[in-house]
Amino acid sequence: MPLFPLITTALLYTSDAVDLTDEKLVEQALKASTAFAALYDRHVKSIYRYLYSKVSSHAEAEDLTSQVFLAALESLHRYPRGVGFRAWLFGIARRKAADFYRKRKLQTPLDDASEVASPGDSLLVQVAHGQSLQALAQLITRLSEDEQELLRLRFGGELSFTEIGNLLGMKESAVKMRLYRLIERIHKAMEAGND
Amino acid sequence: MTEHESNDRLESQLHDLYTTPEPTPAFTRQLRARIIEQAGRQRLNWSAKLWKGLTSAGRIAFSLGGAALLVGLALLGANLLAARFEPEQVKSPTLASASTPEATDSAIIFKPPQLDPLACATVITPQPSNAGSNRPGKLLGGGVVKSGDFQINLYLFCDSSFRPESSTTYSEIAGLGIYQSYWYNGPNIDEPATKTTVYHEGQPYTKEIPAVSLQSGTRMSQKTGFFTDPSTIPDWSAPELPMQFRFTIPGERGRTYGALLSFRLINGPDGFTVHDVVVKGFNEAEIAQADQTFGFLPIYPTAAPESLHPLLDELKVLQERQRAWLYTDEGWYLQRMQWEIAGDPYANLPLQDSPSYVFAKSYFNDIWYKVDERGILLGSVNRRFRPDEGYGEMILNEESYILPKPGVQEGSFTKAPVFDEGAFAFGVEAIRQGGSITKQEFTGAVQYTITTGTHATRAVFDSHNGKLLEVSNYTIEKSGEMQLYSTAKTITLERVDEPPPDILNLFEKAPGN
Repeated sequence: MPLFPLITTALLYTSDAVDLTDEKLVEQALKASTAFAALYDRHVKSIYRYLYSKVSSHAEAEDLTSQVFLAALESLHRYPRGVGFRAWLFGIARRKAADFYRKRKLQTPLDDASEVASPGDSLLVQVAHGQSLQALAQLITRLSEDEQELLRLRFGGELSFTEIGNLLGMKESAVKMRLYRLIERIHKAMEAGND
Repeated sequence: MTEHESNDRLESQLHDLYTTPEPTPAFTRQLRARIIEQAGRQRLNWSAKLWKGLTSAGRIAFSLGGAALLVGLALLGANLLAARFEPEQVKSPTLASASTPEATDSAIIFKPPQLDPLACATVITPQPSNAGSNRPGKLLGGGVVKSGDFQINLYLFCDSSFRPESSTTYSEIAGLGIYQSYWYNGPNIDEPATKTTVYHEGQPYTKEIPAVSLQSGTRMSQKTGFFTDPSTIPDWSAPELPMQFRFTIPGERGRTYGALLSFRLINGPDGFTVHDVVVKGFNEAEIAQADQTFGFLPIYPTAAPESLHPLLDELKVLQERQRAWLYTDEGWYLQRMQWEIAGDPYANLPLQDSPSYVFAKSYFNDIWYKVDERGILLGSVNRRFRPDEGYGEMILNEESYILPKPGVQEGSFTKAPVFDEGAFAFGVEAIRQGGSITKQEFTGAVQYTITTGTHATRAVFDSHNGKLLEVSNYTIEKSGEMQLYSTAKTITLERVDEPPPDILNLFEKAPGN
């Protein structure tokens, strides 16, 4: 009995959630944490893809994805407004991935060893189909980690320049310029490879 | 091809390259379910009873033993400035004109239990294998067991961030957490969704029950605090408390996999120490028969709720008065509350995994309760409406179905116990979490403010008959400022001969009627 009813007795799902901004959904989730599911639905694929591109293992990417969303749920009240939810979420994902590598260095139980791809086993090369994609994937493996991260965030996470800037502590224009130059470089390298 | 076009093509290739892997549908569904469960538990942390009250529009509070309404109803609607039970006119204490305020801010006498710091000082336990990378810190004990094709890790661990006053890392015992994970290594299973019939505006329609999906290699892990059955209060003064934590995983064909983590808490001058930790996986017979009960089983010694705080005793007395005032005989009771939502009227159906629906910022909520001669709730029908729009939506609570508005995706309650003790239970929950209760007296009325870390509920009762006059819910900002979120005033609570035909018709659709 609604002795102390909080809001109302029955609230149903509508397509409203589809049109709401992340910020609005965060507000809702802070009042009724199960509303977090809408944010999960919206971002689970991009987070998974990003993590998969980092750890090259389906099982670890799934595990890290669950950690990211559970951690985000737990710390939603600390979400800094204005940063952008996706940038904040990818920040958590980056930290979880970093933790993963740190822990893997410290301890890799034998049972887990088979789950983790070897360092030289590039995900991009694994998933690339077709000659040009294979070549592109090989080329990317030779980029610096920072450059690869930029590509992951932009093309795997599908973050905007602003979001990447917020996440990496850079100006939007700097992100844009860096990415543009990087793509130019890759383009030229691809052309050189074709010659 | 221009340079621009060629760069576009390269970007398209990069996009293809990075978006090729997709999480499996089974994984996303399972993680979604886990998140909903976790979200629900977080909510439970601060207001389990409050939300129970919310969902149980129809779960009246009629008690068994005594032909008396259980607290709930009483509290619930009791108040009514209704014509039939017109109480003496009482000005709400929330008004500026309230008279003779007499604040009595009671001291909290309940000290939340904690883990003995020494229990964690010397602990070195090997980390669980196959646990993924979300491993806990210092382990107090536990183990890895098998249940069917699931490998399950259950461990108790030390973590000072888990505390009774935390809304996000809540633990009844400060410093104690439970690590839970599973790894599924059986065949891929994709059961078809099943269907059941529910009624919308009196007409049957088909409702789909989600399918079970399991993919080999799927694993989940989570760290939670220590949380006992919310309907019980452990006697933390007992020298020893046996504990059993039940971890369950819904499986195929209605089977339930899982494991039981058993241990003893021994009371000491500086807190509890943990002993005899044993983990046992469900065997085949248990898998076939087990239900999905998750959490601590109430096998520990319990304490009387009112022993936690003196004001809880007062709330209990108020409820008994209200019950005595309201309940007269078997039959139908109507409660009408007027809701005003000060904040955004978005929220979720408790126990449901889908957000979110705006009903209105201002509306009425009618609930018809049917009660038997012993005062036990038989069922209820809930209808919300705006005076300007007539029918809003109707909810039949007997079998916990929700009947949505046309064009709105349906949702459903899971069947929950018909049990709610209103203000008293919410107060108990708040105190268990290290919250507080304060009281202010006014002419003919008394107001209690129950506060947890992030939320507060303020309830005003008629001093004479215990009727609930008004309930306001607040969120508490980081600055400590209370922001009004919603207010509900009871407009009517009365026994009625019979509800209107549409309500009666809907009620009669319930299985068993």
